[in-house]
Parts: sequence; C-alpha cells; structure tokens
Amino acid sequence: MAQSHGGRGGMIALRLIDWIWTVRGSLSLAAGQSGDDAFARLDALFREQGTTRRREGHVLIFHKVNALSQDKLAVFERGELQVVGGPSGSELRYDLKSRALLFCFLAPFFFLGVSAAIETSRISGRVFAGIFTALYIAGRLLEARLVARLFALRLAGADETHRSDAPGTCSA
Amino acid sequence: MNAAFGSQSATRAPDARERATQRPTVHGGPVKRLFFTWFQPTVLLAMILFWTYAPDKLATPAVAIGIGIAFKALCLGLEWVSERHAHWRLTWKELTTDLFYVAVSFTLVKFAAKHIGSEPAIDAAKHYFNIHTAWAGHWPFLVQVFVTMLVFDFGQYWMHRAMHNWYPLWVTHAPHHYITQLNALKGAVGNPIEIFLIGLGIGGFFDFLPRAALAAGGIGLAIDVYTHANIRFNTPRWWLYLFNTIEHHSLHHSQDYQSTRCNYANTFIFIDRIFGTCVDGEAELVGQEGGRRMPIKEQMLYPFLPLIDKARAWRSPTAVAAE
Repeated sequence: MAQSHGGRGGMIALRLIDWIWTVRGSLSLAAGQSGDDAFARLDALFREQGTTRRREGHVLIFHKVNALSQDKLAVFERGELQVVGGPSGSELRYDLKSRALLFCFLAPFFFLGVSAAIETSRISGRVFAGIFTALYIAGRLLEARLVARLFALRLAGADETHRSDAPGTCSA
Repeated sequence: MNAAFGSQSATRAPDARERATQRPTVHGGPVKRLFFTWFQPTVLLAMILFWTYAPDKLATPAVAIGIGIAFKALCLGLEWVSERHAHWRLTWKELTTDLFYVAVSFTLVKFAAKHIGSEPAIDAAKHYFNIHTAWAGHWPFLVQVFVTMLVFDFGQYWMHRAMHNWYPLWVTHAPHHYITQLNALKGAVGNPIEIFLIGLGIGGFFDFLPRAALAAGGIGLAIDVYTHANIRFNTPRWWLYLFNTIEHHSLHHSQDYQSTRCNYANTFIFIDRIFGTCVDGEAELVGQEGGRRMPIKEQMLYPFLPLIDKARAWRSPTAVAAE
C-alpha cells in the first residue's frame, strides 16, 4: 500500500509493530477478472451503516464509524484494498486497521496494572489479563482468516452465509 | 415480525393467553424442544436444592463464582443452539467489548462497592445506632434467601425506575441502552457509575447466614441470566408472570425511549406488575438513536458530557453557539 508520509526509519519501526492492529493479505483474482469487477463484487461490504468509501483508480479506501455488530468488517475501522497486476495475473491486496485488535492487545496490561494497584483485584485482574491475551491471539488469527475467506467468497460470487443476519427477520 | 409487539395496540390488546400462543417457539426435534422447555425450571430447582443441601465445604464463595462463570459460558453456548435473532449473534468484537465491561465490574466496581458502597454504609449506620439483626439468621433458610433477593430487587427496581425518570441518573444508565444486540454478557455493559449505583441495596441490613447471600446470588442468576441472552426458550407462562425474561427486557431495550420506561425489576417482574410498570411482549430491534453502537470511550465519558459541554461553553461561548 502507498505510504507517502513519515521518515523511512519511522516507517520501518512502525511496520515492526503494526501487525498488532493490522491485517494484510492478498488474493489472486480469477483469470480475466478486472479491478472494476472485483470492487463491484465487494461493494456490498462497504454499503453498511457508518461506512464511507472512495475509489482512487485501482485502490478502494474505506472508513467505519461505530460499525454495527453484524457488519462483517466491523473489526476494521479503516483500510485499503488495491488491485495490482503481476506476471501471474491480477491480485487483490488489502491492508486493514483495527482499533479493536489494538485495544484487546493493550487490555492485559491495563488489568495487570489493576491487579498490582488493588489488593482485592489481585487474582481477578490477572485472570482477565490472561483472558484478554487469549482473546487477542484468537482474534488476530480468526479475524485474518475470516476476512480472507469473506473476500475470496465475494470475489467468487458466492454467498458466505446460509443464515439471515438482517435485522427485522425472525429466526423462529 | 414487528420490531416490538405487546407494548400498545391501536385495536384491542391481546390478553395473556393470546400473547402466550403468539410467542415464537423453539424449532427443532423433540429432544431440542423438550430441553429448551424444561431447562429454565430445572436449573432453578437444581440451584435451590444445591444451595439448600450442599455440604458447607461446597457452599463457598469460590464455588459460587465458579458456578456463575460456568453458567454464563453455558448460556453463551446455548445461544448458538437455539438462537433468538441472527443479528444478535456474538462476534469476536462484541465478546471482547462485553468482557471488558465484565472485567471492569469484577475489579474496579467491586473495589468501589467494597469501600464506598451500601454494605460499608449500612455497617456504619448499624454500628452508630447500635442496631443488631442477628435474629434474622434464625429464620428458615429459604425465607432468608427469598427476603435477600426481594429486598435487593426492590431496591434495584426503584433505582432503575429513577434512572429512567431523572436526568442526572439517566445519563449514567443511558450507555447501557446503546447496546445494539443482546447476549448473556450484555448485563455488564454500561458506565461503571451505573453498575455501581444499580448494585446498591439494603440487603446487608439483616444479619442473614452468609450462605443465604450465596444462595440468593446463585438462585437469582438462574432467573436473571436469561434476561439479556439471545436464547429462544419455550418459557412457561407462570415463569413469564413471576420473573423478568428476555421478552420483558428486550422490550425495555426498545429503540424508542418511551418503550424503555417499563419492566424495571431485575429478577421479579411481579414487582413491575404491582406498581403498574410491567408490559408483556418483546422487541427485536434494540438500542438508542436508531441503533447507534456506542464505543467504549463514549460509554465511559457519557455521564460527564453535560459537564464537558458546559465547560466548553464557559471557555468559548461563541464557538459552542456556532455549533
């Protein structure tokens, strides 16, 4: 993804730690699939409440504010998707930022601090620090897999769910 | 299905029997339907029997906490077996957010309650006025348990009702109403000031057996854990009449503010029936401001926003007027 600001040293340092809140990946497009077609197939994902998006050539940039729980990209507040051509065909590259992942990464430190500061929270603070550590690891792995699967299925034109998530429908 | 039904009707309101038959039921095979029909009464009975007859070495606070955690986890699992609404389904982000509030309740709010909550205040008052209530510990055990639950819920009812009728209290409680889905952990979501206030009570006035408080907590959990849970049960009609349920509480979380002003009790919905604030029915679309999801930072700051706005107006009146 294009990065035009900041010193080179700073960018390298940031790159070393931004895996904490960043999910990157790439998916090969089908032979002959254009960038316009790929973005058209993904477009519904960015029509959610609180989401704004814009196209700049082969790059799609989105922002989310207070995404609803069932927004399939709710974990990511902003991101860039880019279609690039290569010798073996075009591919979709994505770079997604998540405050939720960063928050979950920092939460254990907060509760360790609480356990150190408050005697009555000595055990519970440590337990929750452990829970958030496990949640972070699970979330960092799970959300990366889910978003890759989501993009792959949408690009292939498949519906990734057989159950309605739409509010206003009754499951019974 | 309508977003909410049962609150008011332009034509004749359905009676209790009609509402019961209109309620969606658990779909699936006979085993699943049997399980989700009898689960709630069976667990309640089991909890009463355990806390009444379990040996003292088992009836401990640690066991109570363990049961509470295991039961919440079980309910989160049941949400995937008999789901009420797909858009209430738990996601990783919701789980992480909800557990943060649970963690804050278990640590910071608990610390505040221990030092500046109702228990130390009652202890100090009893000491000052030389009041002794050891006689209460000789009451029949289940009476002690029921009185503990009732006194707590009665206090909670009026605190909760006040929160919906007095602005300074509403700004502490409002963040809880910005949840956009319900699940078994959502009861802990809210501003810590509200969680502290809602926990105040005079149950500690009576010197009941310590075991009675544990039993009240366990039995109360077996009733009110479902009020935020995304689980479809075939809840018995007598249960709906006596206890707060997800049906009542989802209606309390309706998106229009006026519909939230009902069903205040945490456990015993008959308190609402007595005081005329009970509305039978349920809602599917929950939240405020059309379902805007409030982030954690805003949840924490929300009670102070009026003061922050006043401070801004004082420092820069022209800028605020322009806004």
